[in-house]
This record gives sequence, structure tokens and C-alpha cells, in this order.
Amino acid sequence: MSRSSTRLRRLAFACPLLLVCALFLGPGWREPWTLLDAEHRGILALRGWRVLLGAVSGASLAAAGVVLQAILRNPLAEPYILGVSAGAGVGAASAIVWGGLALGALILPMGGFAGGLLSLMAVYSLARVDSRTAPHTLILAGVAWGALCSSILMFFVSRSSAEGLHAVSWWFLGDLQVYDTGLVAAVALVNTLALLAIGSQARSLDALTLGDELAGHLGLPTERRKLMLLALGTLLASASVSACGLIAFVGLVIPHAARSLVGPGHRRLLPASILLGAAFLALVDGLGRTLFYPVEIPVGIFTALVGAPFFLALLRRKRRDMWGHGP
Amino acid sequence: MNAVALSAVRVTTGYRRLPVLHELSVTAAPGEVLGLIGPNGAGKTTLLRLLSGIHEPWTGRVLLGDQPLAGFSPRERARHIAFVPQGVTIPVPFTVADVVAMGRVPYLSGWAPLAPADEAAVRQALEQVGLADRADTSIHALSAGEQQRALLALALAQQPRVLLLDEPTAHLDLHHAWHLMELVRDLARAQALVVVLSTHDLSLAASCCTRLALLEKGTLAANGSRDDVLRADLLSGVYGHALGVTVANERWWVHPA
Repeated sequence: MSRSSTRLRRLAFACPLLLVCALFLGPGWREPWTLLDAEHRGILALRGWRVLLGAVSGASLAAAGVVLQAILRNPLAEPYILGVSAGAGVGAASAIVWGGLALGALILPMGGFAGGLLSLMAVYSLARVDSRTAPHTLILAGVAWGALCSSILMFFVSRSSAEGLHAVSWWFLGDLQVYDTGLVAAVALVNTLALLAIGSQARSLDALTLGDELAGHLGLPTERRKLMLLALGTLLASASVSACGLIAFVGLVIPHAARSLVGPGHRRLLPASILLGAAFLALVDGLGRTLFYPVEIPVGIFTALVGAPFFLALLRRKRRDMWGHGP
Repeated sequence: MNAVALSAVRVTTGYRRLPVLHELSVTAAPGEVLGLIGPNGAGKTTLLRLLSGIHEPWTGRVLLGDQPLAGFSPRERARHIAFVPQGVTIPVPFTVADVVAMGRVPYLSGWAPLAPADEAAVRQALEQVGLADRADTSIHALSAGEQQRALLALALAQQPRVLLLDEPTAHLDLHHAWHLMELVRDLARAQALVVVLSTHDLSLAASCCTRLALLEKGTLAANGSRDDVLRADLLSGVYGHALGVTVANERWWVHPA
């Protein structure tokens, strides 16, 4: 018990340090102090925004994964599984394709959230039988919905002009380039509030992992609480998709890593996942800027390279062992 | 903690349009263990869920003391009534203490750490079920019997006045089943708890329950002491199978005739 709180304290110390390191990754990383020169202020500021976007997206996707895994009671759940990411992608891509960008960049997270929420509602009502929602039905509905959204995205790609094509295919890759600092600031603000709201439900998340029946007997308004938490998770994932496209597997890998460090209790698992997710995505993006310079590798490619084998390894475990063995 | 009875008064309910219980009345008093018996589909689980307040009656009322359960908020209800459902699976490797601490959810806000009073309730519950030395073990490392006792401890950590158990001895071997039932009976007596449980093990029910209620198609076929309820003719009719009852050495056996 005390061991996992020590580990959480270490994470709280180490992860911000790693974010600072990420700031200095990229061209010129061999002479980090030059970044502090007056003439490089612009680069430093740009890097700062980019690290912020990476940290916010990483934290958001990881927390969304924690929420989905707890509520679906399924160790493989993450924003993809519910079709939320793809739905948010369709929402934001529609905004691009139909010329919504003329209305300002904030149309992207708005379109993304609309698409994500619509997906959640569609998936939830598709999976709902007798005013209850069985976890496996929800996942099947999510997978089918995700496939539908992916084909809509492909349809956009095949139909759009060359410029639009670039913008849409970018959603498939996941990229932390900052095009609009206002967008990043808005996403950061909204997601911080959503993370706080989810944090205040840590004990509900614990109880919901015991199943609806028992959670209900512990005094939770089960269906309403689940819907609220799913909506907050959707908000986190959609806002991050709208700012940096579809970044795969962060919502899967990070919660599992955090669980193995601090255990399954959400009062520790949530902050640990948020810290790890933030540091992980910002660092991996830094590596993408550095490793093959001058070519930048989009961060989504790296997370998929790490995440896909992890997902497969998880699949091969027995269902109960998928959650790990605690700290 | 003043002891009060739990009663269902002329309740009719079911799922969707399908009625399960019909005009049923039953009362459980503090300190007693009321055993619900009857064939599959007779309505035992539905009656338990109704008594817990999580399932609402179409007509009739459920009363805790003289207060209708419908007037309680879910959280309030969970401080008075604990329910151990059947076939709970805990997918995540929580420690035993983590699981039992979830019994404090009705008393805690979302982020609040356990207060000393909560810690004490958890410790006491663990001691009552004999799992104090396994507190930091993963719940998955426990045997089925121990897991069932951990869930009982979770319910006790709610510090309830009413304890409802849905087939608590299903999947347990003879030793663990008896151990659990005797534990429940002693707890009911010591803490003046209202205990209502369902079971298919009639012999076990005969020995450990203070009163039995025999359900048949959503109504009470019999309600009283084991002498009143465990009669071969009555049981044979309700179960649709020729049954005999043998009493020897203060032990009761229900068996095919």
C-alpha cells in the first residue's frame, strides 16, 4: 500500500522533469543551452506549445482509457474500441471538408466532440437492451461503429481535393505539430476541467469495476454515473483527436503500465496514468523530431509501433491476467 | 444503531411486463436469518432485490422499520442495507483490503481518503470474517470460499442493519458453505442484523436459518420454522419431485423420496 504511494510520488516528481527534457529534444538537441538564447526564443515557445499539446493529449488519452476500461470492465477498452476516436475524426474531418475552417480553428474540436458524442450515443443505444448495457455488446457495437466511421473517413479522402486530402489523411497518422496555439490552449483548458471532474469520481470508478449490480447496492446511480463518466472520457478523447488526429494505443498501454506500478485503485491509477501519459507522448514526439532529422516522424506511428505488439501480447493472456497482478 | 425489521407488504413486481412476485408479504426481524427457498424461477432473487430497494415494486411497499424504502436516496439506502449478489466477479487484482474498503463508498465522497472511522470499519469487517491476515493479498489469490467471505466483509463494512445474500453458498464446498452460514448466523445474532438469504441447499438452510420462506411461482407457499416448512408433502408439491425429510441428531436432510 505504502509502496504504491511512494511510486506515485516518484512519478509526480519524474514526469514533469521528463516534460522538460522533451522540450530540448529535436534539431539542436546536442547543445540544449542554445535553445535558451534570445534568438531562439521563438523555437522555444513553439516547442513549449508542442510539448503542452503532447502532455495534454497523452494525459487525456490515458485517462480516457482508464475510464473506459473501468466502466466496460474490459482490459482492452480504449477510445478506439468504442469508435469514439474514429467518430471524433469524422466530425473534425467533416468540418475541414465542408470548409468549416473559414469559421476559425475552434470548429475542429467542436466538430470532433460532436462526432465523438454522437458516436458514444449511437454505440450506447445500439448496445442497450432492457435499459441495461452489457460490456461485450457495447464493445461489439463500438467496433462496428468504428469501422463505419473509418469508411466515412476513407470516403472523404477519395472525394476531396489534393489539399483537403492532405488534411484528412493527417487524421489517420496523429501528429503533434501546433498549427494554432489558440486551439491548443482551448483543448488544454477543457481537458484539465474534464480530468478534474473524472478525478472527483475515483471511488465511483472503483465501485463500478465490481459490476453494475454491486455498484448499485453501494448507493451509486449506476446508469447515470456511467453515462456521465463515458461522456467525460469521450470529451477527453475527442478534444485530443481534434488537436492532433488519431493517436493509437496510448489509452491502452499507459493505464496498464500505471496499474502495474501503483495498483488498480483509481485514486492512484488516475493520477499515475495522467502523469505517465503526458510524459510518454511528449517524449515519444521528441524522439520523432530527433531520430531521423531532418525528417519528422508523426507521433502516431511511434505509439502504434509500441502499442500494437502490446495489444497482441495482452490478447494472448488469459482474461483475468490481462489486468496484471497488482503492485 | 437501533435494530429494525424489514418487511415487504403485498408487493407485486416483475421485469418489463412479466410479473415475478404476486401480492407477497414477508417480514424479517433483527437477529434472525430468514432463508428463502424454492425452485429456480420462483422469485427468490427478485424478492431479495426488492427488499434491497434497488428493484421497485409495481404495487405494495417495502418498509425498513416504519419507513418506506422508496423514500431513501440510493446512498442512504446503502448505509442501511447491504447486498451480496450472486456470482460477483472482480476482474481487477484489487487487494482484499481494497475490496472491503469499497463498502465505505456510501459514506465517502469521490476523492476522499479513508478516515480513521472507515479504516476501523474495514479492519473490523476483515476480522469478523477471519481475513485480517490476508488484507494485503490480491483478491485473485483467495479461494472461492475466501472470496465469498471477502464479499461478506465488504457488505459488513457498510455497517448495515440489513444483510441480503443471494445464494451465498453456491459454488462452495461443504466445509466452506457451513462455515459461511454459521458465520452469518452468529453475526445476525451478535449485531441484531436482519439477514435474508436465498439458497438451494435445504439441509443447510434447515440447520442455519432461524426461519424459512418457501416461494412458489412468486407467492409464499409456506413461511415459518423448519418444522412448518420442511414437510415432505409440501416440498414435493412445490418442487414437482417426490421428496423426503429425515431428521437425525438435530440435523435435517431433504432428499429424494
